[in-house]
Amino acid sequence: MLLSSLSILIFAPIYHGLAKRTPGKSHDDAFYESLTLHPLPDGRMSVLFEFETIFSSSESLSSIPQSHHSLTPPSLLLPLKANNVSELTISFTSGWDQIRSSSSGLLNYESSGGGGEIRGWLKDGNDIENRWNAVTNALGGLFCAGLGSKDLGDNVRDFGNIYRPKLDVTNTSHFLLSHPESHLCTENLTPFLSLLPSKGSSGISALLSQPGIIFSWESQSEGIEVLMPSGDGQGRWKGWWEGVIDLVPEKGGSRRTSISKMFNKKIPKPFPEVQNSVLRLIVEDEGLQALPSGLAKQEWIDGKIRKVLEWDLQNSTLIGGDIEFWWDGEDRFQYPRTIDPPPITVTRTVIDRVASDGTFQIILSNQDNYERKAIYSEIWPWWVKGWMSEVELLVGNEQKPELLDNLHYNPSTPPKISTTTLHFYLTIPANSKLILKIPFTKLTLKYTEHRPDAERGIEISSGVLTLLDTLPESQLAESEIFNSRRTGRKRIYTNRLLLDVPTPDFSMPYNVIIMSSTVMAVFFGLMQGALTRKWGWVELPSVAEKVVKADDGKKSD
Amino acid sequence: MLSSSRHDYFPVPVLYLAFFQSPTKPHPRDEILPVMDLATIRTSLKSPQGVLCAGAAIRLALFLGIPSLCHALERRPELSTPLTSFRSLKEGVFIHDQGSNPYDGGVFFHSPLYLLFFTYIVPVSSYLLTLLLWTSVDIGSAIALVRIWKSQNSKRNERKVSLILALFLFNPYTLLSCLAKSTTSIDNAILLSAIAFAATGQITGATFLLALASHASLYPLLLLPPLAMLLKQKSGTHLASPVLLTAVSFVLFCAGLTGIIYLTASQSWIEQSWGVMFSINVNDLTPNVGMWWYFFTEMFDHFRTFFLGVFQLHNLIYVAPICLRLSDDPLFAILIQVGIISTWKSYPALGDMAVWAGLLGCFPDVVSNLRHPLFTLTVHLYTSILLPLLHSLWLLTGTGNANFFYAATMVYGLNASLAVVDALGAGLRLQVKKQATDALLREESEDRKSDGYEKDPEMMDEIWEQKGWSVVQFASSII
Repeated sequence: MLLSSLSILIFAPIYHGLAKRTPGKSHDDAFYESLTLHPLPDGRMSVLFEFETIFSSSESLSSIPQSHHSLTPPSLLLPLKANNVSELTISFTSGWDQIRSSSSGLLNYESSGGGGEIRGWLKDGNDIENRWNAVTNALGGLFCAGLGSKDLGDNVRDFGNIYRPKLDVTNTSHFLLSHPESHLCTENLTPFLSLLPSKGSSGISALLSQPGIIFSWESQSEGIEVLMPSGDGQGRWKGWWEGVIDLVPEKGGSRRTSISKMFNKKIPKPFPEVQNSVLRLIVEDEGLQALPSGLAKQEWIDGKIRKVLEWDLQNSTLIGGDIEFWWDGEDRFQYPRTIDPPPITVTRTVIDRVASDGTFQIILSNQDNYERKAIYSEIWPWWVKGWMSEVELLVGNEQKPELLDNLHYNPSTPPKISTTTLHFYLTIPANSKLILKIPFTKLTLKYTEHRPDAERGIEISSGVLTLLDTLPESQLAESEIFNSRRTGRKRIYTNRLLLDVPTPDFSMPYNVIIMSSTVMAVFFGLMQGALTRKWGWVELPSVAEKVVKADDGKKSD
Repeated sequence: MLSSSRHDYFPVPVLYLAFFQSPTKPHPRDEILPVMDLATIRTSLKSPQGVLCAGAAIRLALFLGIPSLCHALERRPELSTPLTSFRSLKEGVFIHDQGSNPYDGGVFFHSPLYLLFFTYIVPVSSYLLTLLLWTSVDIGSAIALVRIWKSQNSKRNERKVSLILALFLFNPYTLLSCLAKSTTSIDNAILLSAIAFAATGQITGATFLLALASHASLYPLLLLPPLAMLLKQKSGTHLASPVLLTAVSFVLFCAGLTGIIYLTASQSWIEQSWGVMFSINVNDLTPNVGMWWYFFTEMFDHFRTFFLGVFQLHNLIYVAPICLRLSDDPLFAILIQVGIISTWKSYPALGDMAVWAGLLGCFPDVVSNLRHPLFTLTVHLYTSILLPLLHSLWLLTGTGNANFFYAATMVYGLNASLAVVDALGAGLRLQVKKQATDALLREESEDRKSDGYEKDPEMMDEIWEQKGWSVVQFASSII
């Protein structure tokens, strides 16, 4: 069945999906798109656009090197091919900092923490660093955002364990470049749409190509993921755009909404080449109704069996129409007093804050009745110097150093631009709050190393909690309806942090150079005088009769 | 013979002693036990052993009594730089224990000697052992100072020994450095012991310890020439070429130490430990009391290398002139060179000033000839209030900016520089006085011993007073 195969496409690991969907003609490209709506308990709705293109390697067709592109954008794939990239993920996320780890976390699991991030696997070989730089610079241009590193030292090389390869290709190296200061802005939408075969003029992408609407959403996330074909195999590239809409009107009221209300457009005509174009609604609570009604089914999503309604948007009865959503008997939305927390949450704050020092406090809380194994990872710029010997692990007020199984610490090499990376291999006990405290010092930056808006502070990348004990969510166990381990959400991100840096006086360089040099000159002059001048004595017998007797003094030198 | 009232140049230790002499019993004279006699306690506290015991006691009492104070002092940038701080040392040992190389990142700048010592011999995590180490290190420094003084003065003078000990042990800079467990204290002890060995003519001990000190903080390397001169002066004529021997043994010890470190650790420490301190990268710009950090924070990038060269050479250029001008008194040359290093090194701390002040205590004649000791002392008092105050304004509350702390360090640096110049001037004045008095005494009576004034500086001052003579620095140059 087409729809069930699509669900696998979206939520199953790609190798699984690829195996299932190997088309008969090996060189046909295929394009799939979907729009997922997920009402959240706090009266908002998550909206996720996903566009996926399956393409095949065209090199083996003839002996002359050539490439054909029908649905795939050459501007995206050619730099990757030229630089021997195996996998690449770029994502921009903004506005999620406060809600990242809660149940309203991103629907797309591949979106990174706050800000921009580019990561990927490159095939080993010569100039791997240069090739990586070439890729980041080429794609930075594509996304109207500086994706490239300011310095080679910005690249993080030890996150391969966190972002494991999806393709079965050996001899690859992982690169990651984090830009926590980046934001998603209007300039990112046009290049994103231009990568899509439908170019924002038809299909679901027509709903997306409205900057005025899309950028009024409070939280945004966009990203692409490219798996390059190896040899004769197939590749895949997927783009996604996600946002959160507030359904409750400002003055209060019901959450009733519709496609045209959300996007100011009726359901657009489908893109002719599309294989599959589907609208999905994840129904969390009974009472959510839709008209015309979609096809209902049960699906295991993010640790839970959920009811999903699906509409085929290629269906001619829907084109040009609208789909309405409402909650039965809701006149005025009542905000729930409590929202069930997700099984694992991570928050990060700075405590014991003084201008030059502080302590990162990371609270990892586990609501489940079983302990979890996880890696907590951080990326810091070079001027954040952690004190590993003073790291504390607490449950309540009790020290629990045994919960730290292992610590991988790769310190930066100041003052060269470089990163510190940390991986804490942790056991999070059942039903408890694990507190990780990392004291740190902010090193003094040279005045040229400060940003133009130095007083604003500098962002620190999100921390990542990687769960090591997750199970595939496609395996439906009959007996269970809830198991937080069965999820594709392997990584939970913390918020970004804005650290203020102690600043020097930027107007002082000349003054400091002049004053310090003066002190040095005074010292040198006095020393030189004392060492080179003659010392002798004078006799002052009385005030009236001054006989000055000078003597050279028999100097030994 | 008058007691050397002129040489009670520093009333502070007397106050310290008074503090320790405060009676614990209401009326000690009524006590039968002579131990409880106040007078006995006072006498025993005035003896060198008493001062040493009091110095050790106050350290142990503060370490054990107010550990929170010691913990807070560990973080003070005035007392320990990233190169000498106990916190960094703990961090380095921790990383080493984890099986990683602490020199891989910009985390650890201490000498590998310290890393090995605090990993295998005195575990850095043991509060008791480290406090005992730092206490004994200060006692060792004090004993070395006494040995230096005794090598210059053959006459026994317990009172002066006590004074030298008290001046060093109760100097707040020494005391606080010790409580902060700054490795500056250990560097100082090694350096003072090296000088003490040199002052008694023991080439092996002196060169080994100087090599050790140079490994730990590199700048003591600049003391090799005056130290060789001192060894030449002290080792007498039974050695053919003491200077050459000194140089050779120093190089051998240095090579030996480097070899041991090379075998036990990797070579990445050179860049991290010596490189940060000395070579072209003053990497860590953490504020300290020196003149470097703000200068290189504010420095334009394309002039950075040039000024690093200037600042490093500035330490170097004084070695030759001082050795030439003060060739008749190498120990005094060492004093001046130590003063220059402690003021102008790349990462100075207050502990560096303590070793200079302690050495100065071994030269009572120089101190009595200082032009402005009160000024120096009061400015030190002033900066010791200003430095923590302005540091907290900038780096703790975040309300001030870097200029505040920079201003305080500049006052401190200028004052320390002027004090060094003052000491040099005093030494040269003393030299002239001695020569003139010598000539005068020889003139007056041929049979009188010409070196009489050496044992009695009081008499020399009296003669000068009577004659109405005073030493002046002329405008003309000796060259």
